[in-house]
Amino acid sequence: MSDTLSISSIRMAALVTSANVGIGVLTLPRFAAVGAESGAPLLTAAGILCGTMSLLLLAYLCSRHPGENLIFFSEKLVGAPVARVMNGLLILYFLLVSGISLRQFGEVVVLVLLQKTPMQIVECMLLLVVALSARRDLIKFSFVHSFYLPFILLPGLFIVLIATRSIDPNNLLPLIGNHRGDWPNESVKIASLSQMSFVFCLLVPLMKFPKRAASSVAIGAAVGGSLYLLVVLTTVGMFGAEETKILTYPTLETARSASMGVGQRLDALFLIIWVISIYTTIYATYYFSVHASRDLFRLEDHRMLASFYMPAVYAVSMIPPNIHVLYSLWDLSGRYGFLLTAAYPLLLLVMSFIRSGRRRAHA
Amino acid sequence: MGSWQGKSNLFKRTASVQIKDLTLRKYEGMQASARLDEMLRMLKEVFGDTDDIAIRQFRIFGSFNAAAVFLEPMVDQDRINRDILQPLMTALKDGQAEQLHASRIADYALHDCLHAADASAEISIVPMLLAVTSGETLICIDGSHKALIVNTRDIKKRAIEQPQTEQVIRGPREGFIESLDTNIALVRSRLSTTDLKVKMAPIGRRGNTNVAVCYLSSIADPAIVERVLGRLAKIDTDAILDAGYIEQFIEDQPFSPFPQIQNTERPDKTAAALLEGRIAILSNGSPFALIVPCFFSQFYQTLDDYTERFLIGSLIRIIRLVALVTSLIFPALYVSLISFNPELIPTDFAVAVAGGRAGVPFPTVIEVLMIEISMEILREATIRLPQVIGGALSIVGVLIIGQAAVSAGFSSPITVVIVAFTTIGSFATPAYNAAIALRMLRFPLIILAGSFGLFGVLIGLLFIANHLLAMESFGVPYMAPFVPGNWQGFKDLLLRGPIWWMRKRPSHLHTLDANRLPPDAADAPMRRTLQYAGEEDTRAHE
Repeated sequence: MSDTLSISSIRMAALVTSANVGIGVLTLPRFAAVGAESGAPLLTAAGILCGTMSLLLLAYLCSRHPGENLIFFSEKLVGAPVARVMNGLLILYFLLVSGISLRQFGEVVVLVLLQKTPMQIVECMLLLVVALSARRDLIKFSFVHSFYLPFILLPGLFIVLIATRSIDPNNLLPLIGNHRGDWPNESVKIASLSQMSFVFCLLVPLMKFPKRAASSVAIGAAVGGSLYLLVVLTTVGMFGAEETKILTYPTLETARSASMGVGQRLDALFLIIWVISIYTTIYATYYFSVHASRDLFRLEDHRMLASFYMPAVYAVSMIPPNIHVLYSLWDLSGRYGFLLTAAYPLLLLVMSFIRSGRRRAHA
Repeated sequence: MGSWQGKSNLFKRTASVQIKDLTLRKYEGMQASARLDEMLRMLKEVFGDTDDIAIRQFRIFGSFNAAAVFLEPMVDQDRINRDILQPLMTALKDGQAEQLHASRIADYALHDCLHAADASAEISIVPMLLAVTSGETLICIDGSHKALIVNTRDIKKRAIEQPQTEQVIRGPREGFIESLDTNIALVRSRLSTTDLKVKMAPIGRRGNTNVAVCYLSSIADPAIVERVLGRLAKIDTDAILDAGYIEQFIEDQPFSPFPQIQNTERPDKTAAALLEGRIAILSNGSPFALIVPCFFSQFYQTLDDYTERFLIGSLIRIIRLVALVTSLIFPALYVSLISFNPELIPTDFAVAVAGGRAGVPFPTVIEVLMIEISMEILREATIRLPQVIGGALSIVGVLIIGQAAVSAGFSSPITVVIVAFTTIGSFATPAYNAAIALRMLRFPLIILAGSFGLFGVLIGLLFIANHLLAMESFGVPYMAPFVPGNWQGFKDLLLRGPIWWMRKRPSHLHTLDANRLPPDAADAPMRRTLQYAGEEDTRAHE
């Protein structure tokens, strides 16, 4: 039963793309414009490159240990106490990310689609779908991501294609922006968007060819990153950097203006399909927390945890009192989260090299 | 014939047989007596209260006492007269009878006298009793430990007709009937190969319904065959009155609304499934074959797709797929657009909708639900009604009630159009059970649409899609070959590729022989395409 027990390289790439493309689609142009003005596309490219590099690092690390997932081999590499603390931090971080993403999602839906419905109910519905599907095993998890991928990519490309004719090239010049921004800091913020697919480190041991993990992840991250880049390019090209800075959800405005050309307002339709990409992203982060906790606590089954983490994620999503606090929290978690999700694998990789070097020296 | 437990164990190379009937358990392991009066006493004890039992005593070759036992309504009495009584009651030549010993008489009769193809000698009681109840004739002979069993079963069966539920425009017109033997013959006549294996055994304590499992030994995955046999062996019930009973006992997810086993009345469809590496389960008394494992995609494929040329087949399949999706989400989309996002409707049309809805007292969701429910009532009523007035009633229902509902201000005309379109769409799905699953899931979607608009519909669809993605049918992913993807499978998923192009059998079935066609099967048609009219006929065009 090869197809119900293992994951192909293509499905792995699909998983990385569908997990990465998500919450950032609506707000990324604003972040990028704030960070580098007309240099936004370049900044995005830098951020995505940065994120992809860290994912590649992780993928390479995982393919060096094809028999086990990150939670187990990290304990062998840096010792159980340190590894457990770090893995615990990862779990907490992704719970936090799930909560904040959920809140951002709720804000958008209540703003555009369901003005009269309480945000809590909207959030609970999505959380319920996520928690129920988090009860599935890893293979079914990968099925879900590869199934929804076309529904995420095609509408995004469609909007971008329609919007291209309204782009004013002058809006994208100068390529590096007018002011010298804090590029390293800003690109790290964008790079943190790529970390949503961190969960793939649990799936590498199930791959048919674990050695191909790095190439799969590279393809997946590149596809997702290109979509982000296109979105930033069209939005900033359409509105100009200064205008983009003051739009809360610039991509939504792009979809709105683009669809006006067709003669019909399609932004609600776009938003509905955007819900799918949010779902896959939150599903990926939540699933990481659930599944990693199972391995951390050495439990037999993760299904109870899938329900158990629901209140925690919901509580996190309720913390920010308003949208400004929400985005500053998102900003903060992105920066420190990237530090955690990039530096920890780097540390493990170094340890892995040292250990294998020592083994070779002994042999 | 054995039992399913035995068949399943045989597959695992161990043996044990189990008998479940109480009367049979009493006689389990007992052997027949050589004394005729004792045998008759035993038979009278078992069949004592049964008035349709017939015990005909006679003398074999004029010298040995014997009795023929059978159930009168189930046998062909002419055959008993002609093939059993006549040869056995003919006196032998002088001296020949004296040479025969009583204990050898059964073998002599079986090998030299009886003119029946299906006859055997038996020494245990249990098979004898089972034989009588299934319409065979038991012949007990005084002085012989063996009794003879001759198949004289004659049960009335209907003629082979075109299946009512799966009609095709182009393709064979034969359908299965209620007789298992005929059904197996219909399949065998399409697959004349020694590879076709048929495993038969009875299921049910009281029904002893014969069930047959058919597969092609050189194609089907032995692991799946073993899984099917194992699940059949676990069925412990009174009787299998239809293949649908078996389906519910062996399916993977009994609580899912979606069918996980395909059923068909068509022998050609069954043969095609066997060739793909699937396994067919036929049961006596049911004109339906069950086909396992199955993919969701099978429920919108029909034979017409394959018998017609591939462009037409693909086109029709896409239309059918659109109808399938429509029947699930169309009313829910309508409700959410009208109640939550009217800006998505073109302005002129929105004005028309608003005009139509003027005077309707209910919210859209209530209105749609009411019309949908009355439509379902009409549909159900039309099935129950005699065919003669069924057509008349559906016209009354659809035209008159719809029209009246609109003019009474009960619903808007557009709602009636939407609901009618949805219902017709759901009938375009060839598999009735899949169509009804989607049709029922429409109701929760309408309610979600009424409360949360497009967002609710999407959440509902996510639930359904996630459920489908998690399902398996006998260890095979239900959404294959879409997810997990498979390039060869895509050729027969949304489109129906040219028949010479679909070289591989479905890979998710793990067939022993993956190739359906030789690797160069597409060469000749492609060459003809590229050279127009083809090499060999060029002269004809000059």
